[in-house]
Amino acid sequence: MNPLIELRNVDKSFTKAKPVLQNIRLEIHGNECLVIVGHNGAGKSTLLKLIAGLTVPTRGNILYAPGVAIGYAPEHFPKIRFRAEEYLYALGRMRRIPKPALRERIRELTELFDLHASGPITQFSKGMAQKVNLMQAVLGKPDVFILDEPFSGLDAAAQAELSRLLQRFKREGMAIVLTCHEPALSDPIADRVVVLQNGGIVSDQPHQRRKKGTWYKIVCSPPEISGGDSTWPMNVLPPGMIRQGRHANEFYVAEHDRDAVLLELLKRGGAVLSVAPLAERTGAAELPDEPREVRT
Amino acid sequence: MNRHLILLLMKNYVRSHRHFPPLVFFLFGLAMLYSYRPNPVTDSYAMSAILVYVVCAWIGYGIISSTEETHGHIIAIHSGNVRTYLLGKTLMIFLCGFSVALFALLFPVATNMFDERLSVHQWLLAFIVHMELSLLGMLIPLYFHRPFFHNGSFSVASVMAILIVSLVKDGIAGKFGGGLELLWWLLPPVSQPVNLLAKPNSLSAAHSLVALIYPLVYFFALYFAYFWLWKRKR
Repeated sequence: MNPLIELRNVDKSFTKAKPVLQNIRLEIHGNECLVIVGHNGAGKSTLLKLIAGLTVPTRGNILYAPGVAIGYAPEHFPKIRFRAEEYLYALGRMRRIPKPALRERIRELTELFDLHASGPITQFSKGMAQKVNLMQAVLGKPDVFILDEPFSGLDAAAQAELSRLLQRFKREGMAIVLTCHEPALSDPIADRVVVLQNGGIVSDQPHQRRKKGTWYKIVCSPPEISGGDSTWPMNVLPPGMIRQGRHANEFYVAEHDRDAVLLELLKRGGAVLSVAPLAERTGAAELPDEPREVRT
Repeated sequence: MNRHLILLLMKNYVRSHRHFPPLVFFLFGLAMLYSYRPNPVTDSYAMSAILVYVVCAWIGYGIISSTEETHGHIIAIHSGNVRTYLLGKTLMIFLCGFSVALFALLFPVATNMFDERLSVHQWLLAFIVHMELSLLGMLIPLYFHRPFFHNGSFSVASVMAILIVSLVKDGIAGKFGGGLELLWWLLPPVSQPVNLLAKPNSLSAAHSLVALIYPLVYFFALYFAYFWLWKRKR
């Protein structure tokens, strides 16, 4: 199946110093939820802006399928002095959606998001503003729905509701691309997880729902500050989360802990060299005979 | 051009209340300028053109500041692309500038403030100079905002500095000699059209034409350069 959006060897630099993104190769397909994880400054938001067309690559190409429509929900919705319906109407008219169809779409979205507030958006809570943010992004029924940290700042109930809505949009055929700090939040909807580190993709794996028995091998090197510390990363992760591999820089991690471990390693400044699932036919059997328990 | 885009930006600007201080300043300035009658046509229009220049820079700065970066992203997505959004924003700025310039032109005529009957030549010259100065005024803040400037206080100070220096650059150049030739060419050409308006018979026909055409060339060069630089900065 042809991708809706394809990034070919994309680099992005804002200054002559180190590029924000380097050699990004990525395909976005319809009906798929792609979750981008990485520590602060890894280039997640820049990658989303590139995909949305809000910024242009310094090198490489971004190819869009003909007529592909994009919806974009930024991390922080602006505090604007508009009522929600009025704002959506203005954006819809800008998209040249006919008036009756636009009114119907706004009514439909208001019901779907259960947003019944008449005041200006400046008076909205974070959760309500996030609803308007999502409503504006899906107003034109986009093919690709891009969300920057959609779960951030929401309480547990709002996160669950958002997750439910995103699943619904995915079922309707939208491709969803989102960044997320906490991989567990995107677990119910993620189809693919891309890990960004220092502007490069270090892992692009199909996501598997939380279950035991699937193992991944992570090859990493310690951060510069810990130098040749042979106990790293064992000494920084909770006990039982990873197991030592055959070599000093190889570790095994269970599927359900993989994204959390990767984020933790990246957060602490280590370099992840590769992440690969163990062959299905061998599964956990490929693990060392007596894997050493992780100790802190 | 998508009129709904301009309408949205206009509503956003008006509701931010950033239009209030420059408009009050403008009306107060006009009231001061025409506080007595009769007034000399050319001198009064030269002064009101300078007022339009300053007020338009202020309004332009307010319009750009009233749209947060993320709001700009949302509007760009809905309007089709970033270029359409930028074009809409600059057009809206120029529409506001033209309205201010037109008001400054029509107010003394409507209230019969002049000491003589306005000739077609005077009216045409005043119209062109007011429009030119409104364009130049609106142009300045475009360069002192994201993505070129990230420090708000510094950008305000820079806009003010450019406004002041461009108004007095002839005096500075006269004092310091030819060493400031480059400054004369880089800064907005405000004094030439204003001098032409104040003393219409002091320049030759060729110099008058240059004084009228150069601000337009300057404006279009910097306006297109703005889009080019913006694309590079993206």
